[in-house]
Amino acid sequence: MGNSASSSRAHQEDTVDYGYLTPQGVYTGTPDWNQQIVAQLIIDRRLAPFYRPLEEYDENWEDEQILAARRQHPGENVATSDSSVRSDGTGATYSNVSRSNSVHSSLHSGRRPGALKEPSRLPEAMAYRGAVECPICFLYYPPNINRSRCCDQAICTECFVQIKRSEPTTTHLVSDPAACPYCVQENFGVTYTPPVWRAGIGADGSAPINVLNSRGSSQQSVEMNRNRRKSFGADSAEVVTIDHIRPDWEAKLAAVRAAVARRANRRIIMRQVGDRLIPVGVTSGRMHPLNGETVIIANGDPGVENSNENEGRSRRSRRRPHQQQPQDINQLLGTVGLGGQDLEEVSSNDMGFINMHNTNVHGSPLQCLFLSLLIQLMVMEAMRLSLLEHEERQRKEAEEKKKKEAELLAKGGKPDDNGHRENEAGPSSSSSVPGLPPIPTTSPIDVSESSSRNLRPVHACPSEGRSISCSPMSSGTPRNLREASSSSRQSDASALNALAATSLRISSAHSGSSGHSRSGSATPSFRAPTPRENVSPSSFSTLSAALAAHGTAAAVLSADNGESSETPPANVPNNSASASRQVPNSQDRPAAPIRPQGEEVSMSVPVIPAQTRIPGAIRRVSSVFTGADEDGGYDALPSEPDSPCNSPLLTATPVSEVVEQTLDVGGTATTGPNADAGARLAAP
Amino acid sequence: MSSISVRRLQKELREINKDCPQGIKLVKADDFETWYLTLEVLGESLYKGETFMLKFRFDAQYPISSPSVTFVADDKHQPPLHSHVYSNGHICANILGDGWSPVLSVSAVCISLQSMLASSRKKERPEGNDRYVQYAPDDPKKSRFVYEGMHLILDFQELYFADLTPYTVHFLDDRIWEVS
Repeated sequence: MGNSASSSRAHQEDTVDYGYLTPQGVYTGTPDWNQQIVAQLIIDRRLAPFYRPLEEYDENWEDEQILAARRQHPGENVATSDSSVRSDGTGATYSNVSRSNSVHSSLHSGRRPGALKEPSRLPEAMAYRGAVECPICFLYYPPNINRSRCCDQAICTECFVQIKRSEPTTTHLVSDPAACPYCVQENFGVTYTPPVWRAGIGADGSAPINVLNSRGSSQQSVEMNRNRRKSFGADSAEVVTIDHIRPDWEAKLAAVRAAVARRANRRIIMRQVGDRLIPVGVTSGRMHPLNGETVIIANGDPGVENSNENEGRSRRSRRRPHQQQPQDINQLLGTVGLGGQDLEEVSSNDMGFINMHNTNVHGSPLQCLFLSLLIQLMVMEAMRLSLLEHEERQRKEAEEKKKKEAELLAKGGKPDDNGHRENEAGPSSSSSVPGLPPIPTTSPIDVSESSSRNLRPVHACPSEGRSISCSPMSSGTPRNLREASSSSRQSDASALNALAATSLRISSAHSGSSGHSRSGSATPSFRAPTPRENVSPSSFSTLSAALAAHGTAAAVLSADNGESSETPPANVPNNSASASRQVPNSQDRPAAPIRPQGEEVSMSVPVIPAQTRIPGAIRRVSSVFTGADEDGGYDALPSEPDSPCNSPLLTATPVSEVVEQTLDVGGTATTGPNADAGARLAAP
Repeated sequence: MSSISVRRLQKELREINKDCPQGIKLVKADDFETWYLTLEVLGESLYKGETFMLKFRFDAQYPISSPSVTFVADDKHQPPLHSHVYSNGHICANILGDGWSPVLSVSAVCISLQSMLASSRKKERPEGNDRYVQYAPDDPKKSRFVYEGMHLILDFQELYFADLTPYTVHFLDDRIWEVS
């Protein structure tokens, strides 16, 4: 306990009008405002100081009673305020303040009636004359505390600093401005009318104001406040808003957004085992956002793939000269055709995802959620499977490799990225010829650049391979679009784009053919006007990635089943209309195939061959395809409103259906396309 | 030193004991974490003659953070049949979520709920009640309701890959689901 002289000295140095520069412990928790700014605002008399509140107040109280009613600071408070100061990094100044606070509090807590008689204290009590209750913390403060700019309601500084923008989260990428707690007007801010006298920091001289003065002036300032009728705009000079004291809110928002973008940029690495696609890992999200969705075929060891490895590989692939790419394509085709054991990596970038969110499209998020869930399920499943399947896979690989060229065999013992890829080239079941000169890309450079990183095979595909892959592709896209639109109630463009993009990806994954021709044909179908239009980032969404991933599996499955052996219609009618179609079935979507029963996601999916997992959907889909083929119209898409694929969509598991259908298209492409159809498609 | 929530609640308690709004009765407030109040709808309404029990739970950030308010659903009490009240007692009301303001109080919430019931035209459960109830978290504040049109905003990005952390996703229905 210090003596009164020293304490009152400290008081004058570190207080403003008998209030403090730091919170007085009404709220616990780490301050998240900029304490330096707040202190300066207080010193400038633009914000009320942190007064020690009164628990109660009565007009008839003596000064002593007023001071006695002030909140006491037990010893713990010292630590609190100290730590808060430090966490704000505001430096030594404020630890001095807190020290002085603690001096005061110990003084007061040990206070005896006699001690209060010191004349120097009484002005302090005078500041509280006419105290008002803060409507939030229900404590009493000097009457001149802050007033809301909009509705002129009192609010203590302690409560004011608690009010803040909504924190941006990874799920809510906006920082909504705080509304006035009283009148709910946006951009909460306060005004402060200081007393006409000054004490502590900024006071003239060191002498405390005399009692008479303070009494009169505090009444006066109360009058001023009470008479205020006008409300201030959020940008008025006299207003302090909650953004003023948290100047970093935009940076925080940006940081969260960046984190989300990074996360969204990750890829899932898939391995194909038999007729299954097994996710084996997730890359880091450090790559800068791509404009394209990518599908990589890679060979790798089972287990979680190292993200660096993947990045390295994609970088390599981007640099790869065109001559090498046919091999990649062949390898791709071979992989698919053989139902091979290769690892597929499906990656997505999330820009479209984010866009969707920002534009307040809430229909598609559901899909996104669901699909990302799917992805996750697959990832979890992969963790289990990769162990179980390791042996078998190795064996199969060995068999496959025997058939391959000797040069490639050298690397074959242990699947190694390049070696394996090249190995696959030989056995490709498709008619594409390795070594064909790359076809000039028709699609915009942008796309090819971005996608080439991962879509290496697609990038420069030999004409033959391209045409082949094209046909399923182009026919599939419109169909997918229809599905997409039907499944998204709001039929927002981004969702559609995502879905459409998905179909593109998927087919590229399977047919290993031609991202480019595909993007050329597919894009117009949902984006209407320009053929060859660049696929915008929004179309490469998580959704599409998820779809692609899921779709790939399904496609492979269906191909293996031999159910979808027919080549889907070739010509791509321009289906921009379908995008706008709304089918009111989105309600049921979430009910889709996997509904974890409150357990961990990974647990809920039995590890069974994919074909058994979703036989119904696949069968249905393939039957649709067959029917279409029988109709014989290459230009007529089988997805008439009443076609089988639509009705189940409404009732049962729309999302999965969409996925599977999309995939199926890819699948059919890989298994069955005859060169004829492909050729026709190739030259649209 | 007590926290802001205790201090606030002490005062609210005093107020309620002194001057409780009509139709509202404080049943139990043994601590400053959980309170029980009963609520009756006054005047002519679909709920005339019915009494409902409300459970308030407060955290240390009250009143900056909203209280968690549910109707009690047990042997003795049933939540009102209302299109914003699930059969487990969870209430889809703006003021209990985004619309919360620290200026509101226990009695203000009670009065709001009273008027919500009083204005009801039809006794019915919310759409998707069964599924919601099946998967709903204990604390309704963990459910994300969307108030306009009662559509749900998904936490889908949180789910996204989620660092491979297993998440539990409850699809409550197309509008309501919960991730934990």
